[in-house]
Amino acid sequence: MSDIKWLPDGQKTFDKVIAAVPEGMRAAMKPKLAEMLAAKVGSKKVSKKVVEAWVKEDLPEPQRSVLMAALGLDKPAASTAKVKKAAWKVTGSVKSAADLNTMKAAGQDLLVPKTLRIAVSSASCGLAKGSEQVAAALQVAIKKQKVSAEVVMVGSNGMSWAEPVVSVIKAGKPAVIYGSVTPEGAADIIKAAAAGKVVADALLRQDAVKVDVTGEKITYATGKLPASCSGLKDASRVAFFKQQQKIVSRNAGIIAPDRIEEYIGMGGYKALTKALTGMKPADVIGEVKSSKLRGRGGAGFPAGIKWDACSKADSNKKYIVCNGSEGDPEIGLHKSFLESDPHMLIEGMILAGYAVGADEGYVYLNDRYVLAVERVQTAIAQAEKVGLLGTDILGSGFSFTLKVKRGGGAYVCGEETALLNALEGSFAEPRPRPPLPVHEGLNGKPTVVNNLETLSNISAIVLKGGKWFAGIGTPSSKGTKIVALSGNVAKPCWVELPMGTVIGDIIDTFGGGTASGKKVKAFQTGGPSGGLLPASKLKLKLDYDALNKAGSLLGSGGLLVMDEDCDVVDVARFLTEFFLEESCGKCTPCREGVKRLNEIVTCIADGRGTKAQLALVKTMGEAMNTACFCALGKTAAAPILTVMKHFPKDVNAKMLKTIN
Amino acid sequence: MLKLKINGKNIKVKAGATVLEAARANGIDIPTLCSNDALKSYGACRMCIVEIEQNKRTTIEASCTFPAADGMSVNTKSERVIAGRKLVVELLLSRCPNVKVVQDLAREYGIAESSTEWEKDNEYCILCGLCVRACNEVVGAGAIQFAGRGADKIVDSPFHQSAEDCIACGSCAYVCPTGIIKKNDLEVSAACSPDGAEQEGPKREILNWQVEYELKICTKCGNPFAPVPHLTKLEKELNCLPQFFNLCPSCREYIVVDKDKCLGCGSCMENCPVGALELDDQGGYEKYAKVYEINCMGCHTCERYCPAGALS
Repeated sequence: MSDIKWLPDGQKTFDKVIAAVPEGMRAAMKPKLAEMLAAKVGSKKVSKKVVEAWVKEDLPEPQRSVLMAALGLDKPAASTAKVKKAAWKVTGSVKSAADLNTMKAAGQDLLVPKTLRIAVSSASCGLAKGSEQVAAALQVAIKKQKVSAEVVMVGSNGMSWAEPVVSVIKAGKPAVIYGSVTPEGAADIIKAAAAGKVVADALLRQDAVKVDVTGEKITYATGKLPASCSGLKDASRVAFFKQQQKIVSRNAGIIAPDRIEEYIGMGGYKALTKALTGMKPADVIGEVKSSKLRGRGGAGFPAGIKWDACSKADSNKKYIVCNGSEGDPEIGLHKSFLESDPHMLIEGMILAGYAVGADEGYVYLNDRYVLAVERVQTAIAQAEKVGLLGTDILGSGFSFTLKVKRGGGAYVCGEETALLNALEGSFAEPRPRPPLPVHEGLNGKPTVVNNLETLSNISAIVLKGGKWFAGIGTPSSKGTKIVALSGNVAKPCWVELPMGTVIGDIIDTFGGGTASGKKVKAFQTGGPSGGLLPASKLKLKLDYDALNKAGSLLGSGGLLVMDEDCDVVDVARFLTEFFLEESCGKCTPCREGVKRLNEIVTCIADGRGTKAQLALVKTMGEAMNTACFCALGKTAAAPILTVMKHFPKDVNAKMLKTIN
Repeated sequence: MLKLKINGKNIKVKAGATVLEAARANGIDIPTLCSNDALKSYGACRMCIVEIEQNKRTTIEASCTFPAADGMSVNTKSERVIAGRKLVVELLLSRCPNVKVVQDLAREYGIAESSTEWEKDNEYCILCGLCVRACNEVVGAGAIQFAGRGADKIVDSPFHQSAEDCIACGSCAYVCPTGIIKKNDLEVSAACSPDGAEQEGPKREILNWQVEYELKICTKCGNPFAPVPHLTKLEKELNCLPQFFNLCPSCREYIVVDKDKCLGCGSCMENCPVGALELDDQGGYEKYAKVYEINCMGCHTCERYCPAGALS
């Protein structure tokens, strides 16, 4: 065998490979391996690179793993590489509208610099797919090729399936977005960027970012595009961006979450300046009321009415609390959003504080969202440093402080009174209402508890007016909604869409259908409490009332897709078990009821179901809806009830077969 | 006064009352398990749910926490309400099949046995939280709490160790509707060992919280009457003479007012730690101190404050 020279230890290693083959096949294997290599190499010379590729891609197990070990390919490539990142230092302070404009100009210079800006997506979805290694490789390539460029860690633009996403930005050039970048491809990207060219497998180009809401526009390219870019699809014409309406997520994936200047550069804190210098608190509430913004947490209570009630409550101390608990098992929506643009929430909370007369706010976050917590804390520290948080904001005499509180991520903390209990340090159990939190909330003082997305909408509403906002969406649901698409979809992503968008279209346009290529069998909106809906309901629209009518809810915006192979009864079992884990145990029907429900549903899912059990589940579900303390218990039976209603065939298949 | 309807009956009730209070004041029965007049309403057992029609909206609420309001119409026995209560009772019966309160309720609602589809536990605690709340709200000892979450929830001493803050007052055992809290008062006993018999004083033990405290012996009659830490806590909190804590309730001398000496100044009333004294206004200038004998605990604090020596 002449062609085993490439192996370290030649014949010895080759014997090892042969030893991994069953004894009877060894004789045949030897020429077979040589043949396979020859087929791969063809007439080319046997090089190490070719052999490595052959081992990696073509060889069957177990020979593959033996050779991989022999060649040292099984060790992960340079995963220890770390991004060199200095902590961002904010300079200057914002005491007036003029100061804000100065900082805005500085921010825009950062966003579209004269030198190269290499923006690497670094939200959790990106980091999980190795964007940190990519960033490190990019930094190495920049140093090696002596290019003047900066690697910036930005948030996620929603294209989770294409992570790690890297955008190359330079003033006067269109921005180029690369998807699924590997550390190996980093050098090529830098080389091309320095030469003003584009690597062939680039995803999109982007000429400008225009933020409708704040009126800011960032132009990447002027005049004629370089020839190398002309073949690339324009981001603004791709369905993924074209069909979205970005209000809350307008900055996500563009700005660095740890640089307040960039947020201000995109028109941030403009709404705050407008409110503090020219609007009375009642005007702010008026705008929110006329916007008909409804709570994005699930129940859909109008935010304006809540604020109004709180502002009228007589007390010398009031609180604003942001509900960022998000205990749903399959959604990472708050996480992605906060990791991309924490300042939008902060601005919304200051505005809420100004409107209702509160001087203290708490951001209650799920502690499992480690990175989101860190980025919000950094953002708060920066806002405090420049003077946008603290005493006498923008010289208006209004003061507001903000703190992050970390919670264990219990599902029941989505219930606002349970969240308040958790904030106070006691059991996360719902409180009886009345008194409502707007009258007696945190520490017995009037408190507005709003979902993270609700609060993030405020700056846009204040800036463009409630009427503009009320013009988007359906008659009963206004504005946009962030939807996190997960489950069996080809392209998992998160997108912001106007209310009234058809759910089936979201799955087709943004998710690219199911990952398996099969038909959609069921989908779930609004987390575990939503229940499962069949494919025939794909024509439903994103709308609080339409979804409620169909027996589901909009919830916090998760959209879980299941294909034909999915065992929906098993999904119901999983969700009932989730409720069993998450019940706080305060009220009897939920604590005991979910336990018994879980017993029955497990029995059915195991194929031992009886008609009597189905009847019992039905009566239990109705009675629990009547008797339970809070929405968790009231909706705990929803998964199995909806499965029984919409998928009778699947349930029947799980019935115990008896001989009669 | 608020006017509302309960089961079609017109009812007047003081402002601030809950629906449960309104119903009970008017002889309408609503079953409860976690409610007690001395404690804040908790709303956990869900037995007291009622259907409330208010502002043209019908909702199901727990009557123990929901405030009565003008123009409200309450139905305590609607079909939905009964179905909800039945589920609660049946679930409790499957958890605690041997607890009398639950068995009684089950009989009342015509449930012979919990569903055969469910497994049966043999718990005794119904997790109404009365003991926990009495210990924290009324006694102020904070010795026990809920532990665990959801189906694993239990009432327990901290870390399942001996409850250090327990004063063995026995309030938890007193309020418990199931009788699962085991409080025993032990007589004088002798522990025999090779070294000879060693006498142990009278003790009180509460097995659930793993505590055991000595009982104080009345200096007058020689009978044990209260655990030592309980008296120590009271001594700290009440403005009473120290010798008061040496006497058992039956040996204490209760206060009698000498009307001839009483000036009607009211200083005794102000200083009584339990509010057992009041000024009896008989019209004109005649005012006398009056003792509510049920409340008086015989501490003689008032005696110290009476300028005329009218109390003895």
